[in-house]
Amino acid sequence: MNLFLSVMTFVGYLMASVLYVGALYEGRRERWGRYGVLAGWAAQTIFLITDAITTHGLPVATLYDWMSFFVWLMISLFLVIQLRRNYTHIGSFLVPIVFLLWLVSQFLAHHNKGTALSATGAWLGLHIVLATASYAAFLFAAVFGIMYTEKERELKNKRVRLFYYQLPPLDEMDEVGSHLVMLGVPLLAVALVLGAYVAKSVSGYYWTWTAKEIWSLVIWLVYAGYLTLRWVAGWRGHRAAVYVMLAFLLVIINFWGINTLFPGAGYF
Amino acid sequence: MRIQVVGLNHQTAPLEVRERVSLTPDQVRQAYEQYGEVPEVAGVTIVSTCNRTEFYVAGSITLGEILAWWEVLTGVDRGDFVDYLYWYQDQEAYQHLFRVAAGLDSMVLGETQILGQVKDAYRLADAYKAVGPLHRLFHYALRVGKRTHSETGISHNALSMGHAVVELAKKVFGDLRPLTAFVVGSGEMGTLVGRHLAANGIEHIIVANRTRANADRLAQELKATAVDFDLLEENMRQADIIVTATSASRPVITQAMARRAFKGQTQRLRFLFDLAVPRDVEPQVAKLGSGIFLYDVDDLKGIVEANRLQRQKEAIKVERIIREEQAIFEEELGASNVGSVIRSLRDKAERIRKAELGKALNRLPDLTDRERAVVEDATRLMINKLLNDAMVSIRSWGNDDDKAVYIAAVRDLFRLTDDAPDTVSQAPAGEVATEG
Repeated sequence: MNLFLSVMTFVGYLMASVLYVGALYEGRRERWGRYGVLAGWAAQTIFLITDAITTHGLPVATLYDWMSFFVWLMISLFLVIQLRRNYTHIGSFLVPIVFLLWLVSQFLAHHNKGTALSATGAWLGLHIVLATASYAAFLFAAVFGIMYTEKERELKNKRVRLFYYQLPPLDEMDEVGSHLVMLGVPLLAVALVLGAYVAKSVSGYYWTWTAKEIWSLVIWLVYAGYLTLRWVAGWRGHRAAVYVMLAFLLVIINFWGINTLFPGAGYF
Repeated sequence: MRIQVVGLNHQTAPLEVRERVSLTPDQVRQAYEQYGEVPEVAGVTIVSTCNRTEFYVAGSITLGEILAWWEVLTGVDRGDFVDYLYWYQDQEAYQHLFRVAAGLDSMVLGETQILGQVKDAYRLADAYKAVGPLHRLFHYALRVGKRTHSETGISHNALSMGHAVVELAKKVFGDLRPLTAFVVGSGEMGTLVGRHLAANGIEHIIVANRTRANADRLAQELKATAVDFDLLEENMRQADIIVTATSASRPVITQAMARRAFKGQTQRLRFLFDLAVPRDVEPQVAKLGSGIFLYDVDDLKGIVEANRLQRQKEAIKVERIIREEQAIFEEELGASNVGSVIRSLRDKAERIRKAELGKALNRLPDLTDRERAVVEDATRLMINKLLNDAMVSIRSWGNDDDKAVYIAAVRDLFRLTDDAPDTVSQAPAGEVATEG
């Protein structure tokens, strides 16, 4: 059953990745891309639910679980955005990235202990969900950054080809990107506070200066810095777009780098 | 039923010819009033616009007779326009109308106006009950047009300078309404672009011109604000979109001016359109900030060219829609072709059966009701069994052009005369059941 669901997720997201990129050239492919996303998403949803039932908790205990959950959340958000606005072409950038994340997660060890959450209960769960949601917002912001720079490049070179025709107006992408960061920063702030609270109840200290903790704080500062630069120094457009793209690299380093280099106690 | 189209358009005929032979709405009405008197016409619809005049005619009327009719309506001798005509029949005629409705035959590829004109022409003809067997054809043509605009982007992307300016601004800003546009130079080009911007709802337009009176005139037309030409920098600072179109021989916006005007705002999105030759804006202005876009006339031409290619790409999709719809239409037509043969054959058999049965029963007055019923059943079964295989075969010929001659042969063989209302056909494919 699990194998079937994984294969279905793989096929669905792979098909969606290919078709969404193809949809930039030929809009009709978008529809089948969406079916692929829906199929993969449905399979993944069932997978996560069964996983949650068997382990009696949120399926976020290992990096593998967490990434799978993150991917699921990204796709869910993508589907919600599609309902509200016609941002089809986010899919051309987002779905392949998310598919790769999912694929990588499949190769991570997933010895599911099923105990991670029981000790500290709901607060840890909430901490993880909020942190994940903030990362999802940051990844979306980065996708808008990519789209912005691609369209801007065509407009500056005056050789319009693809993105000129397909992507939303520059100003709008800039706005949406900044709104996403505005959403992610407070979410991550709350997540960090909750994390400290959970740490206190587990180890007796709020803050233990682990690489993980430091890095998470750095990420928060970087995104808070983005908002500051935007509001105070009037950063807009190109610079803002490049900033959110680079900032997300930090998140990716956080994903793998820290978790692989310092596999100590902690959470993701 | 033969369907043909005779006409001329912007590709085949010069304007002098087009304007002479085009029909005014009154002349078109007159044509519809007369059409009952023109022999061999089962239906007619006339599409007459500034770019084309076309007669769509169903019936066995000849080309010469249509031209004679055209001569009478316009008073122009056919010798004056016959060289510019095209004439298509049946499949080619359907295809032509579908292409027209989709905008593929228009001067501006993919324009949408023609679809409305085709629809109006059809409605007018319908009001005079002149459409006749052409109903289904026009129904499909309008469907092609609708699908074209909902399923392809052929009517998107600007093909003129004025539209291109608005389109580019939208690609950067999205909603133009809350923006400020500054038009420098109120000559022909400045006026044109100013009108386009105003038509797209830009809230605040500022106009400057060396001769203040001209700026005032344009400002009044656009409900804009006119300012002194000396105040360029102040107004540049406020503006999101700057359009320059002066006849100055040297740049009116230098890099130094722009640097002062945009000081502290270099990341703000700003679009400058320099429509003047020689250019009004120093090209270095574009390098002042990442938010600044500067397009000159050649750049805009490049965009228009790219848009044209884009439309041509979309035209391939439109051709596909036309093929699909044409296939469905012809299938429908084919089904109705054989439908009428089958109907007439069955009617004829039934008539004979009833007549002969009546005679026979008259000669057998002593039969009981049950015996009469047996005899009647026997005749019916004979006819049905005899015709059954023939019906199956005829049905299978419906969409096969090569088999059209068989259908004609069946008609000849059984001497079928149609008593359907539209009995004008002499075409081999037989009748078209119409009126959808």
